[in-house]
Amino acid sequence: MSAVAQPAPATAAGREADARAASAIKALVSSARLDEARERFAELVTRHQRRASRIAFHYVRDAAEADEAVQDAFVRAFTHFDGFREDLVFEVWFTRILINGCLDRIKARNRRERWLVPRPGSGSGRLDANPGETTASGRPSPEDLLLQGEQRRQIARALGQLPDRQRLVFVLSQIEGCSAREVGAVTGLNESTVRVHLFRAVRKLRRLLGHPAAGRASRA
Amino acid sequence: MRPSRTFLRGLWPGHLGDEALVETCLDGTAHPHLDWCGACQERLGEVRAMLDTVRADAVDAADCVFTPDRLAAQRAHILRRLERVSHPARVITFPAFHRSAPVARRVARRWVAMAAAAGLLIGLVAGSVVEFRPGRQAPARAGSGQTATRMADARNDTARGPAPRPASFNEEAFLSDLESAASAPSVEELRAIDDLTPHVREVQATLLR
Repeated sequence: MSAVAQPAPATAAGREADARAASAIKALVSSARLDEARERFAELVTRHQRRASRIAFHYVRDAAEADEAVQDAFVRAFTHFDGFREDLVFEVWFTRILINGCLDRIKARNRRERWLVPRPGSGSGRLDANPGETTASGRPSPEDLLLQGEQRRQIARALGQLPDRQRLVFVLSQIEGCSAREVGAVTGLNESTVRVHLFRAVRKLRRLLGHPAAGRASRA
Repeated sequence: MRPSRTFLRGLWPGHLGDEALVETCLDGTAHPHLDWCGACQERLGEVRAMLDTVRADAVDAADCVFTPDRLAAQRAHILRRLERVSHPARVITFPAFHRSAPVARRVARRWVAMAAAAGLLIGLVAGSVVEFRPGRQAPARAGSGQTATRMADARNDTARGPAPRPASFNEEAFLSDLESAASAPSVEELRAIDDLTPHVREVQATLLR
């Protein structure tokens, strides 16, 4: 079994800091002190940027689009801060904005791709592109690098084959460590639907990755 | 007291289904079947390993793309965009639109202008008619007209030379008139001053000598 630990969900201290910053920003925005509000908001950007980039990257599956989606989400969150309800968790509220933005981008991309013929080599920023382009050099050996790259490509391809909603639920739950309730709050699904999506995602991943135990069991 | 393996085997004679296995894996709850079924334990381990691998790989892939430099650039870009939101570009209205007056006021202003123009026109016409009426001399005009007349007179004077004195003017008579006026009954209080003042006749005699 791998020694990779489950990603720690947002700590209580982190959430408290978010709540304090969010209520301060809301007060500053409502009193039209935008410069100070922006300075406080920069704290939130620093704290949530990496996580947001990861979610967007796995959801839209393109680095440049994920970058833009994250930027748009932060700007949109700031401009609509007067609509932030303080009884909500900032992380959940912001992730919902991010997810909606990503969803819009995916829809727009699907519309584009319906009409345009993709250029060869145009997917260099895509997640399932050759990982040799995105993997940092300095690995122990070329064989390891090759195997690791092959495995990563295989996993990326498998994740990419999941339906959008299943992939989103899987990323939020298994990669970002959100609970089923939080995933439900972010996606607007109820908890049982989240669980169904998660189960289907895991089952499909097992099948796609050629897991030996996939589909072997009989009903208990 | 834990139930015996035989009892549990009686409850779940086969193996855990995928759904139960994944749920166990996701929730972290321990299913009683796993206590005695080695095959299902092995399957659970495989699912956990797969999820761990996918998780680690996904985090790694994202972190390779979003390096600290890229995140710093992204943050700077976000803050620049937020600055533009806080300080939107100044919009200069051009051309400046003045608030238009109400229609009634505009109409009244137009009538005043028309009346002034009409008055000026009538004045000019009437003036020209009066000016050029045959057999009538132009009256002395005020302002620039008067100045022009004076200049014309001066030009005529220059052309004619010094003006001759009228023939009827008698200097002696004029001076005696002044003296008689001065010797006429006057205010007693001023007589002393009058005595001190030299008379015209005396001055003239002095000058003639």
